[in-house]
Amino acid sequence: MPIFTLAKFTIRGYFKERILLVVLIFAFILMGASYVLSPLAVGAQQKIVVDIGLAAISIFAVLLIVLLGAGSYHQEKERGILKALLVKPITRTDWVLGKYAGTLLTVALVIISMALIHMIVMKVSGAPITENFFWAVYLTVLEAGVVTAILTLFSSYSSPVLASFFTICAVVTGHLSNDLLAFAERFSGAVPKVVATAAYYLLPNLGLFNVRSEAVHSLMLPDGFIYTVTLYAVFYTLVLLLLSILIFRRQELH
Amino acid sequence: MFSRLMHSRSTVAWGLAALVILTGAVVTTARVERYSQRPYLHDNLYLPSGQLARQVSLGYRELAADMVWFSAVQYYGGYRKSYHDLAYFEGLVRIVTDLDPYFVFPYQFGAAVLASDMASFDRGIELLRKGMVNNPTRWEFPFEIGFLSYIGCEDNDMAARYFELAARLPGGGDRARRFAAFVYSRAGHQENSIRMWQELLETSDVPWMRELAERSIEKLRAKPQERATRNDT
Repeated sequence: MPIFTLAKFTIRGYFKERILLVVLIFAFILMGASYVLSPLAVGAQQKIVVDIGLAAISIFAVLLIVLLGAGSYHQEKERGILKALLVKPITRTDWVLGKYAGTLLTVALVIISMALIHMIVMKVSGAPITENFFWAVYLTVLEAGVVTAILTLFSSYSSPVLASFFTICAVVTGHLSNDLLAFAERFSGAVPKVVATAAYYLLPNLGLFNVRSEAVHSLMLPDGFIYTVTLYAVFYTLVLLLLSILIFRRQELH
Repeated sequence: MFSRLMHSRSTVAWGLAALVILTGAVVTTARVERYSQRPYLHDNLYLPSGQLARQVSLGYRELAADMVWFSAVQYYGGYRKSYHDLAYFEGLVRIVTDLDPYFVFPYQFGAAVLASDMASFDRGIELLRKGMVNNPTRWEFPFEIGFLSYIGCEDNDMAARYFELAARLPGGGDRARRFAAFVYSRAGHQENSIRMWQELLETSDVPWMRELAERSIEKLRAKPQERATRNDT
């Protein structure tokens, strides 16, 4: 099981980088923000506690993937660790999948820890913890899975700075993908319409993973929504990982 | 000996440099403070439209709405302290409600400010109608439209219709029925008023509310008879 060993190795590496500090910083920001800001928000004290917490979990998760992931992928290539690993019975596919699993598990662990801290803050401030809150956290983990796969793809062929930059661009456009479709409908020419529509389907639709509004306002989620979005995330991630493996297998290591 | 002397000289030099830098930092911080506190009245002039703000917020619309709501509350506070007028208040509230259409309080507070501080009942009602479209199951919106129509526009017919609509929605209950019954009576629609009091009598759990409904129905039923007796004589 080289993938699990590699995943374990990756997680251990991240923990050495004092990743838990992120969780602690998050806890302080969250508690500080909810106590300082909520009295200023006339009529929306509890809403603001929930909003800030859920948004912070999502933002921290993406930041963590980009900051830790890109560096880690590159470090192993640069320091020759990867070359040494590949001498052992570990394939390049194993390395990509193990690295992906390790990064995602670490981020998922951090997301869950942040969600637990947030639940304590919600409890203290009297904000109700609804079922949709758990779905919002679950979908943030799924989003992290897709973003980690995007980073894996870019890290397989570019420098850490470029991989981080491309991943952030993909996250930004992924949140604007619905607008692309709206633009496509407004374009008069056939070519721009086709390009915009193709971009809409190719780019990750990260807006799907955002049910924070539903969590804050206790709104109903459509039937089969979670199931469909989960399948979308799984298949989108698999396609990205497949591409990463194909690129990485052709790459020469120096 | 020489090296010790040099060492102590360099320590003194570093100490002096640190003192100068610290003094400079303290003095400039104090001087710059008066500029940072200058009143800039048009901070909100370049606020984007709600639609643009939705796109710029990249999926963190609720958080963006909260931030703009903080600005709106502080802006209103500035008005109450007579720092400025309310020129940008409505724009701020519209951005908040565009970013988070389910955020109920800004509609209510915004409408109250538009009606009371800006004496614009129509714009207050318009804002509440936007809230009603976005939150069709919330009784508060038709209730407050009814209230502003009655108080500000003195349109009893419209007010009564909205109060009745609020009474039909979950949570509207006794209060909306009582207002609907009262305003229907003021508008001259006695039958409708009796109907609303009757509903209140049948649905309310509050004893004094049921008593009030009973008395009001009696009074309203007695009125046409009084009128008829007066006409006969």
